[in-house]
Amino acid sequence: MNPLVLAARESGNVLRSFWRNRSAAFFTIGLPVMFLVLFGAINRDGTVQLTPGGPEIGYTTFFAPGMLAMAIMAGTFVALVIGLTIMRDNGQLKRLRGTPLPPWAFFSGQVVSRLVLVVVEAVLVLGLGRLLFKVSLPPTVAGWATFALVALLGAATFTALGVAFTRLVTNADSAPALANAAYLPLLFLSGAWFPIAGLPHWLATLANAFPLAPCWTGCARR
Amino acid sequence: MLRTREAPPSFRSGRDGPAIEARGLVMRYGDREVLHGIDLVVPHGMVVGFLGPNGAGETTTVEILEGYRRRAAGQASVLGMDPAGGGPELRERIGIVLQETGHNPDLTVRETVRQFTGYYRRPRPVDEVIGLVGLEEAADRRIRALSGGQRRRLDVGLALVGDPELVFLDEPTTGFDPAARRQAWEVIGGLRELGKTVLLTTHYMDEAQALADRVAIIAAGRIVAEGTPAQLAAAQHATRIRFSLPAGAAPADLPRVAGQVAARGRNVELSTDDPTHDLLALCGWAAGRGTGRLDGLTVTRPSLEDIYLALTSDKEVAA
Repeated sequence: MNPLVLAARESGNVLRSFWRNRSAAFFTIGLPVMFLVLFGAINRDGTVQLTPGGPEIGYTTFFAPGMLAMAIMAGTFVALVIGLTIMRDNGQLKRLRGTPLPPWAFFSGQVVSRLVLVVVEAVLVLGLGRLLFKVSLPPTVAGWATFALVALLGAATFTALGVAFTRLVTNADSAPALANAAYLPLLFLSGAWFPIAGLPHWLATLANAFPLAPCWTGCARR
Repeated sequence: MLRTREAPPSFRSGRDGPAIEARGLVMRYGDREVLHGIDLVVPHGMVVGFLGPNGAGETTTVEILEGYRRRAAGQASVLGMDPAGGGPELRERIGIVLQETGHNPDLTVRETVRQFTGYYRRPRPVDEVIGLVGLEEAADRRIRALSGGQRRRLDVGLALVGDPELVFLDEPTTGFDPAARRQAWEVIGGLRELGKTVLLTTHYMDEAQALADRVAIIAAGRIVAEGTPAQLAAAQHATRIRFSLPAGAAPADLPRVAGQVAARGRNVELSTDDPTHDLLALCGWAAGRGTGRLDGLTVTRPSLEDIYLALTSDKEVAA
């Protein structure tokens, strides 16, 4: 069977069930948008210095890419760790292994569908940010290209990490706790929520060792 | 030990051999050997029941044949292919119904079946699959809202999507109420009418008796009996003759018989390989005494369940 057709179909299957499961859809798509609107409204006219003595930028221009980075990690890493361990524990993966569907087609479906969600999320966050808070967008085509590349690279990295991380999760019940134990500290350390220029050196080094900080910095770059 | 199988034919790995042929399958988990040389033949178009107590090795054997596990030694051929290397080519032609397998609860029955039709080169039409397992009414319901029996039927349906020649059914009715079991049996009986070959793993004797053309019993990693249900019953020697001693008679007064006599109070139980002659001796003996009757006389053949218990109970200790 045509590999592309198989992978595309499998992505469609993942996306269909994603939209059906309201809580998962909200966690991935809704939560970052909600935070953007809430914090944006609170800090509407606030400004932020990314580095001490550096130029001041609008708070929402700082915050919107942070929410996008958050959505990327939640929608790929966290969603995969939880989703794959459930499929593993209840035998869905084993059932698929008993069909002619090649494992690579299954994983392509997982990856491509997550990338589609990242694009949807980016449009939502940047669109709403622009509309409600006049978030400044990349001014040039090259800027947009960098942004798109970083966002997709970030999504791809977290997809791979999510798949790898499932090996450490022994059962589906502990998956949400373990995934969040990795996700939440990274989220706060990465600078997605507040500038991390004041972070102790060792903590900043730690934060930069993980892909979320570069992903955020890349998304926020002008 | 009970062996009703005909002399095993030489191993045939070609396409004209039986649907499943395993010779000397050995499996080890670490240092522990759990299969000690399993021989199993499933001819085309037959429903073969595979029975054994928990931990006897039936799931391991079936998973080797399904391609989920690699055997440590021995030969296996499934539809002429080695299941260890069959890959998608083999999976196109087999259907697997696993024990307790989850579904995506947010999809409907129809969507789930349609998804699986995408995995096969020549799938059955979606509605045909739904009809085969009697889920027409529930076709557009989400799996979350299905009953246990309906989910099990969906399991069977998904295994039939690729129109397989060979279907593995692993404990298809465990945990079912009697009505749901009957329905499941009808579905499995339907597989036979479709000309499918079925390897049915079960703990239930009545299920094997109702559905299987042949039965193989595994205990402690070895096949301890194989044959048709009737052959198994015939090979089990002990027919039981029960009666009450006539008034005034003691067990020691009984005539010589071929079988073993066990008396408890006035109740006598005789297990015998030769019920005809033993009955003749007993009745002649009784006719010459008092009332000339043997009260409460019954003659019973062992049920498949008795045979199964006799074959597997002593083995579990040995394992």
